[in-house]
Amino acid sequence: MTKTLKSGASSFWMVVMTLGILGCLGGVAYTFFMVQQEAGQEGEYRLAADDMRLLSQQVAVNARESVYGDEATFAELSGNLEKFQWQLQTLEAVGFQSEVASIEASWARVNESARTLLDAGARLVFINDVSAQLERNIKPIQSEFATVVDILRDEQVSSETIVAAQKILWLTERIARNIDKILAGGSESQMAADEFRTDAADFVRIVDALNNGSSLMGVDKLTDADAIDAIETAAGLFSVVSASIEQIAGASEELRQAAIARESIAVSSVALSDDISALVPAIDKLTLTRLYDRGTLMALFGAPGVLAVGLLVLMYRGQRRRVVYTEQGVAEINSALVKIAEGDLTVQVPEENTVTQEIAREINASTQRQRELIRNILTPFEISSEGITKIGVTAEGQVEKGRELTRSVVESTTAATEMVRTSEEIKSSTVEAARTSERNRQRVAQGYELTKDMSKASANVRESVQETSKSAKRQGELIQSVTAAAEYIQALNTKISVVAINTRIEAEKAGEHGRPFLGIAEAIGDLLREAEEEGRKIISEVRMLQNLSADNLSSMENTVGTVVTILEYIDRLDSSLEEINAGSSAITQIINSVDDAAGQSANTAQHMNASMDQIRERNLDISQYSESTQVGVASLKSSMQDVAENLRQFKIGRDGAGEMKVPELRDLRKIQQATRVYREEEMQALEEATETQASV
Amino acid sequence: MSVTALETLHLLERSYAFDAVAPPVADSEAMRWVGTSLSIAGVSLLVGEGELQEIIETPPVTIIPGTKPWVLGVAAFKGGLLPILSGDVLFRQRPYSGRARDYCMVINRPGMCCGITLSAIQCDLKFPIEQRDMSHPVDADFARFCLGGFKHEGRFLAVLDIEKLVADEDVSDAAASEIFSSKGNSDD
Repeated sequence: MTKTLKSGASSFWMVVMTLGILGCLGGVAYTFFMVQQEAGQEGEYRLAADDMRLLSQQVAVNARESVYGDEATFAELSGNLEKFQWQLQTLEAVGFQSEVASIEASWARVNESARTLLDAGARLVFINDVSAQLERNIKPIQSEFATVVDILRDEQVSSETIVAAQKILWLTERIARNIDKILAGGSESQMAADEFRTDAADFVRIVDALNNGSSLMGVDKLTDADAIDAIETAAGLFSVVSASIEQIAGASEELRQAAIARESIAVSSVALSDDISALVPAIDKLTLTRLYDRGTLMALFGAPGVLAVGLLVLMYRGQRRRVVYTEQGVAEINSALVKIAEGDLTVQVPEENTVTQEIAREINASTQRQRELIRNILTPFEISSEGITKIGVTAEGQVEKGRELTRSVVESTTAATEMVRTSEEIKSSTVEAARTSERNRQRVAQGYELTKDMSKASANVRESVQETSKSAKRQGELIQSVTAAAEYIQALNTKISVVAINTRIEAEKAGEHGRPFLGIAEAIGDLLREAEEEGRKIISEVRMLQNLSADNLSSMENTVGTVVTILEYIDRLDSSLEEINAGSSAITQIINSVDDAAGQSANTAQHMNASMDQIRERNLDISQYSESTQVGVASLKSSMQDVAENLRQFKIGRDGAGEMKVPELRDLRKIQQATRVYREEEMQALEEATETQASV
Repeated sequence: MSVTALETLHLLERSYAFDAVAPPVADSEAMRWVGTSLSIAGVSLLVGEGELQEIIETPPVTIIPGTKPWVLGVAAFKGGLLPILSGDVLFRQRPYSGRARDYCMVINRPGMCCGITLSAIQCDLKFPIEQRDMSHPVDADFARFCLGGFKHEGRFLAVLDIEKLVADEDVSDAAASEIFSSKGNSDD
C-alpha cells in the first residue's frame, strides 16, 4: 500500500515539473524571437558601416597604386567612389544625420582628390607605358651605340663624331631617369621635364648628324654600313620616346597635381575612417531604444530559464539515486559470480540490497552445497596420494643408484681406452725420439769437425790482420809527412803572395817605368791564387786520408779483438758439443725403457676393458627388472595427477583439506626416466644435459 | 763577256768581308777600384792601392815601456826604427794570446809610420767602382775605420780607410794611460 502511494505521488510531481519546464521554455522562445527581430536591422546598419570603412581604405589603396599607371586601378577607384556615395545616402535615409554630416565633410576632400587622379589617369597610363618600353629598350640602344663607337674608333673620323656617339650612351640613361622623376611628380618634376625635353632633342639631333653629317657640330657622316644599321636600329627603339616628347614634357604639371591629390587622399582617409567608426555607437544606441527595458527582458527571458533549470536538476537527482542503488546490488552479485567461476566456493553474497536480496540468498545456498560435496571426494584421495608418494621416493632412489653405477662403468671404460691410445702414442713417440737422437748425435760430430776448421781459420785471420795493421801504421806516418809538406807549400804561397803585393806596390811607385813589373806582379798573383786553391785541396784531401787511415787502424784492432773472442767461443762450443753427445746417449737409453713400459701398460688396459664389458651386461639385466615396476607406478601417478589437477580448481575453505600438493606429484614424473636402459654414448649425452630438461 | 779585274777585286773584297771575323770590341774604360785583400784579427779587409808601403815579415821587436797595450815595440827597418802595432789588440781592444802573427803591413803617412800585424794575406783584387756597397754592416770593432766594401766570392770585404785610422786620436797617441801597465806588451 505504501509503495503504491509513493509511486502515485512521484508521477504527479513528474507531470507538474514537465509542464513547468515547457512553460518556461515557451517564454524564453518568445523573448528570443523578439530580440532577434530587432537585431536583424542593427546587423544591416553595422554591415553598411563596415562596408564604408572598407571602401574608404580601398580608395586610399587605389590612390597609392595609381602611381604605377595601371588602367584597372583607375577603373576600380571610380567604382569604389560610386559605391561609397550610395552607402552614404542609404545611412542618411535611416536617420544618422549628424554622423553622416561629419562623414560627408571628410568624404568631400577625398572625393575631390580622387576625381583629380581620375582626370590624370589617362596621362599616367601613357607615360608609364612609355617609361616601361624605354626601360626595356635602353640596353639595346646603348649596345647599338657602343658598336657604333667601336667602328668609329677604327675609322678616320673627327673626335667630335666619336664624342657625339658616346654622348648618346649617357643621354639615354638621363632621359629614363627624368621620365621617372616626371612620373613621381615631386618638386624636381618641372626641372626634370625641361631637361628631358633638351636631352630628347639632343638625341634626335645627334642621330641626324651621324646619318647626314653636321659641319656645325663637327660630326662626320657615317660611311660604314654596320654603323648605319646600328644607328637605324637604335633610333627605331628610341622612337617610343621621340614620338611623344611634348606629351611627356607637358604632363609634368598634371602629374604634379596628381601626386598632391595622392598625398591628400592618404591624409584625409584617416579622418574619414574615424568618422565612419563613430557610426557604430550610434547604431547601438538606436537598437537599444527600440528594445524593451532591462526589467522586462529579465521577466521574459531570465526568470523562466532559471526556473526550468531548477526543475531539471531536481528530476535528475531523484532518478540518479535509484539507479546507483540498483547498480550497487548487481555489482555485488557479479563479483561473487566471477569468483565462483574461478573455482572459489567460499564467496558470500551480501543480502542487504532490497532489489537483489532474493538472488543473493539462492547463490549462497548453492555454493554451500557444492563445498560439502567436494570435501567428501577429497578425504579418500589424500590417503592414496601419500602412499604413492612413498613408493615414488623409493623407486627414485633405486634409479639414482643405477645411474651412478652406469656412469662409473662408462668413465672406467673411457679411461681404459684413453690409456691404450696414450700407450700407443708413447711408443710411436719414443721411436721418433730415438731416430731424432741419432740424427742429433751425427750433427754434433759434424759440428765438432767444423769447430776445428773455424779455429784454424780464425788464427789465420788474426795473423793477416796484424800484418795489415803494421802496413796501416806505416801509411799513417807517410800521410803525416805529406801533410807537413803541404802546409810548408801553403806557407811558401803566402810568402810569394807577399812578394807579389810588394812588387805591385813598388811598381806603382816607379810610375810608367814600373808598368812591366806591375804585369809581372799580377801574373804572379794569378798563379798564386791557383796554387793556393790546389794547396788547400791537397791539405783537405790529405787530412781526409789521415782520418780514413786512423779509422782503418781502429777497425783492424777491433777485428783482431773480435777474432780472439771468436777463438774463445769456439773452445767453449767444442766442450759443449762433447757434453751434448754424452747427453744424447743417455736420452736414447731412457727412451728404450719408456717404450717397454708403454707396451705393458697397453696390455693391462685391454684386460680392464674386457672386465668393464661384463659389468655393463649385468647392469642391463637389473635395469630391465626395474622397468616393469616403473611402468605400473607411472600409470598410477598419471591418473592421480589428473584427478588432483581437476579438484584443485575448486576452493572450498581455509582448512586446506581440498588443496592437492601438485608439485610433489609432478616430481614423481622423474621416476619414469629411469626405466630406460642406456648405452654408453647415450649415458654420456645424459650427463651433459640438466636433469630438469629430460623427458620420457 | 769576261769579268774585269776590278769586278773580280770587288767580288774578292765582298767575299773577305763576308767571311771575316768581327773585330774585338774594346772594353769600356770603366773605373776600377784596386786594393789588397788581407785580414786583421780574423776580419777580411781591403786596403786601397797606394795606402800600403809594404808587407813584411814581422821583425823581432824591442819592447817600449809606457806604451799602450797594442804597441808591441820597435823594430829595425831599412836602417831606421819602425813601431810595430798588434792589429788584434788595436781593433779588438782586448789582450790577444793566439797564434803568432808572421806578417805585418807597413803604413807610411805624414805623422804616422808603423807596422800593423796581419792574421792572413790573400792577394791584390780589382772591383768595378760602382759595386762598392756603403750600407753593408761591418764588424763593430772595425766599423769606425771602414768606408763601405765589396762582395767577393760570397763574402763581404770591408775597405779599411787608412786616413781614418791615422786621424783617430786613440791610435795616434801611443802613450799608456792609467789603466795599462808600463811593463810593455807581447803579441804572443
